[in-house]
Amino acid sequence: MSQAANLSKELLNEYNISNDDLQKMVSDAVTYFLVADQKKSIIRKADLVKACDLTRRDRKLQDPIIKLAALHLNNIFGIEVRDLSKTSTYILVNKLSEINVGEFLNWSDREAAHMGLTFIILALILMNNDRINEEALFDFLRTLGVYDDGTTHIRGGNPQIEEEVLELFDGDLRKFVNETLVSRQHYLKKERVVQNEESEQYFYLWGDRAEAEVKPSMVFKMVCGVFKCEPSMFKEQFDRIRQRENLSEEDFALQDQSDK
Amino acid sequence: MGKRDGNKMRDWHRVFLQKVMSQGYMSGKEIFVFAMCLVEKFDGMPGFPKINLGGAEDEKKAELAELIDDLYTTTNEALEKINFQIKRGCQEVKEDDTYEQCYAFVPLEENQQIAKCQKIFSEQELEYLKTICHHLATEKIATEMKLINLCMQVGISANRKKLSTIEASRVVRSFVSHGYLVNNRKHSRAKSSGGTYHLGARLILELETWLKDNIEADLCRACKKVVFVSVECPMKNCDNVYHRQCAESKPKCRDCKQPLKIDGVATKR
Repeated sequence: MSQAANLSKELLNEYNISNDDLQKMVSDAVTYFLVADQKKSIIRKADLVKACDLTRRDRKLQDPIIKLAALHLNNIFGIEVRDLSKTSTYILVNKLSEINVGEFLNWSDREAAHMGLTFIILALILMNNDRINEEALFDFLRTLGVYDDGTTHIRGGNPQIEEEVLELFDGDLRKFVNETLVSRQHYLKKERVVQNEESEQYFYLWGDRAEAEVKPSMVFKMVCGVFKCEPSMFKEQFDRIRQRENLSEEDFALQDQSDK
Repeated sequence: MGKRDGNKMRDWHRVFLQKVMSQGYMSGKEIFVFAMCLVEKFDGMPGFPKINLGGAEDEKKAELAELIDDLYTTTNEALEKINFQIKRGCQEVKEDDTYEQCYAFVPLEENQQIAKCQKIFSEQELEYLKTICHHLATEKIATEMKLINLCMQVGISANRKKLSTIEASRVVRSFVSHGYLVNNRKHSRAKSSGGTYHLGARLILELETWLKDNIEADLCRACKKVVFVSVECPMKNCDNVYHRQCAESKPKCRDCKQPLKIDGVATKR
């Protein structure tokens, strides 16, 4: 009998609920996870419990129901519910990404633009020894031609950003980075570093979702591809990533061949 | 093709499920093309059926149809435990001489609170869609102008703001692109005014429960499912109606045996 079937049986016996009742609670939890994840927001347990009407049930049912929903999401959809712990929050990670399911799925222009820019920022952070200060990040985005804070012409650049590009990010890229990528989706983390009484700096790092969803080695290979060079040309980053993912140089090369 | 692997969900079933979910709905043709992509991706993996894409056309089609059937059945057996289904239906009006098949990922029960999280359409737009459903339940088909004029009946926000005609026109196009309405431009009577519109298979599949509960829609005598663009039995005291496709497959009334006539696009009550 599967893990889900065993857990269902335990719950039916322990809590004196009908099979229909249990199925409805689990189905509502699965629906909530899938719908909430459409926006790639962090999913809070408290919000899920409220939306699925679990507040009027025995409190001890909440965790097993969520666990059962997670088992179904994993087995049926190939989606892992990752508990970010300490904070009773979850993200969904598509396990089928390991087999490049993305090539089959439909992305709108907006989604593709957002994912593309997110990936570029993650790559920038990775190649900059895992953190980058705010000024450097937005300078980089300015040179990419997707950001202008009104000073681009002073620096000798072309301040014209295409209307279509602006629209994809609702006209405000800084807001997209800080509100969407940091606060809502947790692809990035923003840290405040107080240097002395008069100055403080903000740094961007990979957030919890990026750590869960994205392999640094994959991002690194993309960067090497853009620069058309061997990984060993970026020795410091290459060594750090191999250590992080416990890969030898041969493993890295083999992984690269199988990706192709 | 080999036997099904004990109804067990495998990665190709999950990819199929994610694909239908990500698109919301897929036509039969899209599913067929997608099945070929799955064969290219998973060919040779343990448990994946052997299909020769380079073989004879008829044999290839039959094997792919069997694969699609397995994807559909196995996935639905798993989804049933959590009150979801991939539903399969057909458009009610022919396009290029076929009734296009449609697959849609559908929750079987609705949780109102969760449904409010969905952001494809606003509450106002959803209310407009339901108004269109009521209208098309009676009229079966409508021109774009008629649909746009229905927007005057919509307005639920505190300040009773209604959709403007420009907004309504945009929203109708959006309903068509999402498969909830179908624009049949080939209808000869209304070619010049942009064709006619009728309810799409996706809407009928996704809102099946809501349609049964809220709209006095007919049921097809042959398949017992909700029907809008219907063929009526010509016999005076026989109230039977049929899907056009059901009538074509067996063109006699199931009860009174009168021949069914399928003329034009739709028959009004």
